[in-house]
Amino acid sequence: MWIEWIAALLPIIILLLMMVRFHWGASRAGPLGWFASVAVGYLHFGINLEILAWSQAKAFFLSLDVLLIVWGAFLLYRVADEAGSIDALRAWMPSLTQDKGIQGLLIAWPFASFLQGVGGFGVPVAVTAPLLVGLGFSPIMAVTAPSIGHAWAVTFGSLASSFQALIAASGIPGESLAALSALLLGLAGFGCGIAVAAVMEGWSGVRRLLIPILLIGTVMGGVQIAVVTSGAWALGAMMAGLAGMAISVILARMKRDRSLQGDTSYHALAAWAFSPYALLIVLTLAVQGIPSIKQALSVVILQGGTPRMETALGFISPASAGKEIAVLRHAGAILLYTSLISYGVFRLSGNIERGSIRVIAADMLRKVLPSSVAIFAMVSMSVVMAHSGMTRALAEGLASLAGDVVPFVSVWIGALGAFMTGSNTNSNVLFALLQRDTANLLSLPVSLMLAAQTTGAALGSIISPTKIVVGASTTGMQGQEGGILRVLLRYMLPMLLGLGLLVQGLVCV
Amino acid sequence: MRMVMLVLAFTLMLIPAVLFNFPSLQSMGFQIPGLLLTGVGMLLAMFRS
Repeated sequence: MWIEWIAALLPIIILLLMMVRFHWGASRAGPLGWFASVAVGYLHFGINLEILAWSQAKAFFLSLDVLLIVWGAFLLYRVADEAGSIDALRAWMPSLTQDKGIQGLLIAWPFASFLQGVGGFGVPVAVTAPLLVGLGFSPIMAVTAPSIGHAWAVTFGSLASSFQALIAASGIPGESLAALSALLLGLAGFGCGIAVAAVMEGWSGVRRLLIPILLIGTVMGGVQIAVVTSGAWALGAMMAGLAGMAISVILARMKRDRSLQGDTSYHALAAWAFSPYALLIVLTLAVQGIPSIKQALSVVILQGGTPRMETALGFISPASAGKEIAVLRHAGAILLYTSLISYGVFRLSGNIERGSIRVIAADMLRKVLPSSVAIFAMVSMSVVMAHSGMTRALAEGLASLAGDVVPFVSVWIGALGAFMTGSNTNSNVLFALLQRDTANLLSLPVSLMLAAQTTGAALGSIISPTKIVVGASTTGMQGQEGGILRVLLRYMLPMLLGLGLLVQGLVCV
Repeated sequence: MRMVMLVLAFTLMLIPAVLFNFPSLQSMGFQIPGLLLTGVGMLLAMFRS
């Protein structure tokens, strides 16, 4: 059994080794991981060409479900950015209060979470770090605070692409996973808020800002739970970030300088800057809530089933109807409609220049294509591992190795995956099946284990090397990434420890 | 050049994956050439730089 376990672990070890030791990006390491899984599957687990071909067919549908959102989210972000929305938000924030602690908290926590909700791809750190430096925070504070502050919003951020990956990879319906995932992430959100205050002002700052932290954390966590349990998980982090900003603005106005009292010009600026995202909310609610629209957009359904498959060693994958993708009402399609309408409006009002479509397209290609290759290669690897029996072998090994503390360990597996692969999405793709099978073997609650996986991964993404490099490069701290990592670890490790104990405790209860 | 290679790699990975969804194509012996194309796409992505 142990030889099987080590053989099944080999593709993951190769993938992680190339990324960590040899600094390969996920778009290069993913394909190598796929080759390793195919080789191990063929030589040790007895897969054949038919299983490989159907694995690729299935990987296409699973990847498409995630990639539509990734592409759409980035397109909308770039349209808004090109029209000056992000710059307008930058200008609006400091006008709210002169209290530096509240300013820092608002920007590094709810604002960074909102940016994660609508963008992702390192955008929260890239946008807020220079803003914090401009407000007088040291570069290391400016990088570390938003890196921690937005982490709790990663799973339901980028229009919930990581959550979509969790659903796709585990095969468990989103409705079963949403509530527990949002609950654990909401609790992690308090940890993020406390850590942001500690980074900004030390532990005395945490005491001073404790009431705002509790208020903002409760509102953001509560809104995220409410939104995702209603089925609109693509809007979870964005709505939570918006609600967090709204309560922060109220708190900030209570401490506002008198000289700013009569100035309302920034509010109009903010309203305009938020308009693409307001439109996204309206369109999402319309598509999900109005039956006639939902029905009209359900005419194109893609579905790819797989037949029953059996390896030479007798591992059976039962026939499956596959996941349905309603192309026209998919979250990615709604993002596309929003982007096109926003572009049209911005173009007519003169906020976007004529040639900007080329700039947006070039940027999309440069930023999104490597992620797309990485996601497809890793999903393919994960599916090959599942259909060859490797994931099952890994789960059996983990169950016998970790025994009673599997719930505690599940959080760290998620975090490790995010650190190594650089993203919550990739970690979910790699480990969701493993977590599900381990939970089934040990009769543990599958939804809780998958919620622990994605929450651990969200927190683990704090120390994702890509984000650290992005943060360092936007604040002139190139070459000091090691120092940034040390500060981030100081706050992330206690949060993971607490989360692991909580999950273990929940299982015992 | 690097982006062109990546576009090509992604296309080579995706096309066989789409076609594998048609059982009739698979029974016509498309499995080997399809998997070879996928492998070439994966290799291009790995060594594009």
